[in-house]
Amino acid sequence: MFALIRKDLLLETRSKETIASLFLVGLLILFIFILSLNVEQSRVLEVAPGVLWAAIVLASLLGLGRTFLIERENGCLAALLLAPIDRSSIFLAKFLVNLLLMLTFEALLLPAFALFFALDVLPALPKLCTVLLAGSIGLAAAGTLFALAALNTRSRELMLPVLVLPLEVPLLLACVHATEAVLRGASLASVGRWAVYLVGFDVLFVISAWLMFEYLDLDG
Amino acid sequence: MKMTGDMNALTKRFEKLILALIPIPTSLAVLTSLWAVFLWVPTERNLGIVQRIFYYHVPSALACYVGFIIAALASIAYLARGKQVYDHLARAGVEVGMLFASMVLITGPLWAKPSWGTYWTWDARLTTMFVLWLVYFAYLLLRAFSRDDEMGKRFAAVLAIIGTLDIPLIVLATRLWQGAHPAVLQSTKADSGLKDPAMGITLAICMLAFALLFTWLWTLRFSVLRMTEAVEELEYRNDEALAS
Amino acid sequence: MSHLEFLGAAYAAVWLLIFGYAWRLSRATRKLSDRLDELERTDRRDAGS
Repeated sequence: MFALIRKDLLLETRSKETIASLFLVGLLILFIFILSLNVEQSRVLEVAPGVLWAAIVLASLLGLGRTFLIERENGCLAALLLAPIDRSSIFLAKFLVNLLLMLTFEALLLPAFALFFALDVLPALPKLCTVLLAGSIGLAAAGTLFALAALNTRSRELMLPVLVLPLEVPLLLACVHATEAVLRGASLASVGRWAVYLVGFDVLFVISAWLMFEYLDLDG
Repeated sequence: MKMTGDMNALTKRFEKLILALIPIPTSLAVLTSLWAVFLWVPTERNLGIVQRIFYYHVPSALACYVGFIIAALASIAYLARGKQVYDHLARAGVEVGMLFASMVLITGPLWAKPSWGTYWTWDARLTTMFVLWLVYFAYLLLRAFSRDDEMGKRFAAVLAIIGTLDIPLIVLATRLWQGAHPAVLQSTKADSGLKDPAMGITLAICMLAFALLFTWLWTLRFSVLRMTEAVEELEYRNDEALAS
Repeated sequence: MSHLEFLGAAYAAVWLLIFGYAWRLSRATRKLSDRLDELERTDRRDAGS
């Protein structure tokens, strides 16, 4: 499994296409939202968290299909399935690589976000990063699971948002509100219940996805 | 691909039994429910005649949940055992579930607007129903656009299962959200308003009618799926015979 | 829209959906049933010959 992760990471760091494209898309989405919304600075926190997560989600949906797409195009998927490892391990490997990609992308996007919305995120940074991590885990889990499903259809990558977004609605709700609470410097209690929810969601999703991957007949 | 095994024979027998026995009780229940809703039950004092929508709105929601839960269970069986019959049961469950979900989403706003002044509210029940509708719409799209192989069916099964597992998560998230911004409007289930016992009875009659309707439609859909498979099987064999 | 119209619209929607779906299903059932009979006849004929 670690070989898989190393291989994918190697591919990514050599080409850097994915990260660069993700970052650009994220930036553009932030920019478009700012242009189209007229928010006074005093009320910026009502809108900013939502915009941030919209950018993260939309960009990642574009990027998540790639790890499988490359394999499929190269015919590597069949070879991979013949290898003597659990199917679930394949999922874990892809999931971790996708997660790493997303986190890197978010790390790059965050300064731009702070700049565009004129927000001082430094005091809230550790808590903000925790929320980003929790949200990304959930997004990556669902995205990795259904990326292969989407590729198996006639509409390919177009299916991925259709499949993943409805399931992710509660996660996004929680992430946006947790982010808002954190940026407002809210009490531990109010952030706390969102945090607990996020953890619960992530645990459920990662375990379900990991379990179910085993039952997918990928030889087909 | 041959349909062998006890499970297939069993479901076939159940299917024939249900389709033979169910039409009459269902029609009776439906007619009774119409009588009860329009001619018998008294008008609710506060909300007026529009409140009668409630008697169909709530059973639709129940039928929808039943459909999705059946689909999830059948999908688990499909992933575990691989028998095509489970896939048919699941798919039929999702389709009929979606039918009733659409009914909930249509009757809800039609009830809400005259009663509380607005077509939509983001309370836990309506939000959950809407998200579920999206999830299982995605299921139907996945079935429509997948290549007709094992992998497509298995992914659909995964979606059906995760969709149902998502239900408590959606409800919880919406409650946490609405807790901070309490909904100005009442939730659409006015269970505090069932003052007259006739209302409870009417609701029960409608629940029965919808339960029977669900069973009938689900079995019909399953039967169509099964027959389609049988037809394809026979056509394949005929082609083989002609070729040889 | 008066309350009665809302009520009417709601019930109309419910029954249209149910009847529409049931109608489509029974048409499909009939078509498939005929096709199935036809195929089974050919199948039996081939098996016999």
